[in-house]
Order: sequence, then structure tokens, then C-alpha cells
Amino acid sequence: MGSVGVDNFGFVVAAYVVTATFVIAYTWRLTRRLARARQAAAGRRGEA
Amino acid sequence: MSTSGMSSVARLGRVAGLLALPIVAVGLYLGLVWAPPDAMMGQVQRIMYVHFPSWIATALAYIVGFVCSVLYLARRRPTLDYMAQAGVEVGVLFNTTGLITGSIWGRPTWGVWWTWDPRLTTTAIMLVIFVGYLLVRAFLDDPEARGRVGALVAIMGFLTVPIVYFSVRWWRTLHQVQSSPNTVDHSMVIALRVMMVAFALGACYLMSRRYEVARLEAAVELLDFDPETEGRRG
Repeated sequence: MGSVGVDNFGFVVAAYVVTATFVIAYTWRLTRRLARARQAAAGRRGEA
Repeated sequence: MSTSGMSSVARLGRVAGLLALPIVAVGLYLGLVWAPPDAMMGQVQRIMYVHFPSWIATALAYIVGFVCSVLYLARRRPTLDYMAQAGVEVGVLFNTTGLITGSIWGRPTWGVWWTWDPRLTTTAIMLVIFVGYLLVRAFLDDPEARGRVGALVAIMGFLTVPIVYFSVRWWRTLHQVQSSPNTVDHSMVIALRVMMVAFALGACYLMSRRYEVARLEAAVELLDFDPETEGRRG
């Protein structure tokens, strides 16, 4: 079997970009959700 | 239940996140520049440095989900349910990236994006079960039932983890069996281990954030509960 080599570096870039995109998107979503939850918790404590 | 301040889980998670950033930078340099290309697969083998660490993060997160689910059923402490949710959700994230990067790796090496190989099939089944966990939880209003049913689904889903691991030994088909560090170039092993540590720390950081979300949302849910109508306040 020969090397599938240098020509396939695009696949490497795609794999790294997909992984980074998923992790960054999830982190961003969690950060927003956490901020909303903190705000809601602080609001309810204020009401109580 | 306290909703103020930062929990010890959040503090540990922050430390893990801060450690993960420089380690992932070093790992990217080692994997993309320093380590040599594979003699057979060439450059495309560099996908291994994100593909395999994704599975390490998946296994770590699902183990957390499983252990916390078992403990939740035994002790019924809500914090264990929050951690189980965090483990499963972060596991689903890395399970997805593991499957996608594997598919991208499969195209130039096997000639197909997807094949019903036992390893691929069992990992897909594992993902479907844990996505089911998230869906089941979303449909249940009662926190107690949500925790109990979720824990049962997580425990059932975790049964697929050893099946996935041993699938390449039990049914030898297209996917290679686990490599040994003795049969891989030393520089590749170092790059891989650095990325594994980075992904494991990243998974710990994300689980801690998700735990905080679950803890705060549960506190808000409890404050919204109206005991007179046994439902949410309008």
C-alpha cells in the first residue's frame, strides 16, 4: 500500500476544524446558559 | 440550596480549563509539526491526534456519568444527578467529534466516509443511547423522575462502552485494533499523550461548567415551584 500522503492534508485540516468548532460552540453555549442561570437565580433570590 | 458563589467543582474545572489551553497549544505543535508523517498513511495520520483524544474524553465523561448515576440511585443526592448530566452531555460532544473525525480519516484510507464496521456501528449505537438520555430528561418535568429515569438510561448506555472497546478484538474487520506505544514512533506517542491530557482536562472543564448550569437551573426550578398548585408559578 502506498502513502496517501501530502495530497490529503485537507482531511487533516477538516478534522481539526470540525473538532475545534464543536468544542468552541459547546463552550460558548454553556457560557451563555450559565450566565442566564446565574441571572435567574439572582433574580429569584431578590424576589424571595 | 445555595445558588451563590463558586462551587468547588467550578473551581477545579477552572483550573483544568486554564491548564488545558497551553497543553492543547503544545499538543497541536507536536501533532501537526513536530511528529513525523506516518510511513503508510502520510499526513492524514495526523488526524489521530484529535480522533483518539476525543475517545479518551468520551470515555472519561461517560465514566463520570455512569458512576454518578449509580451513586444517585443509591443516595438520591441531586448533586450526583447534576454531575451525571454533565458527564453524559460532554460525552455526547466528544463522541460526536470522535465519530466525525473518524469518518474524515476513513475517506482517504478506506475509501468511504462510513461503513457498518462493528467499531463504527457500536460507537454510533452508544451515541444514540446517550442522545436518548438527553431527550428523555427533556421530556420529564418531575426532577426526581428525571434523575431516576436518566440514571437508568445512563447505566444502560454505559454497557456499550466495553463493547465498543473490545469490538475491534471480538469482530476483526476494517478498524484496526488498539496500537501499542511499543509499535508507534516515540514522537507520535508523545504528541498523542499530550493531546490526550489536553482533551481530558478540557472535558473536566466542560463538565464543571455543565454541572454549574444544572445546579443553578435546579435552584431556579425549586424557587419557581408553587406548593399550593404543585406546579410552576406563573
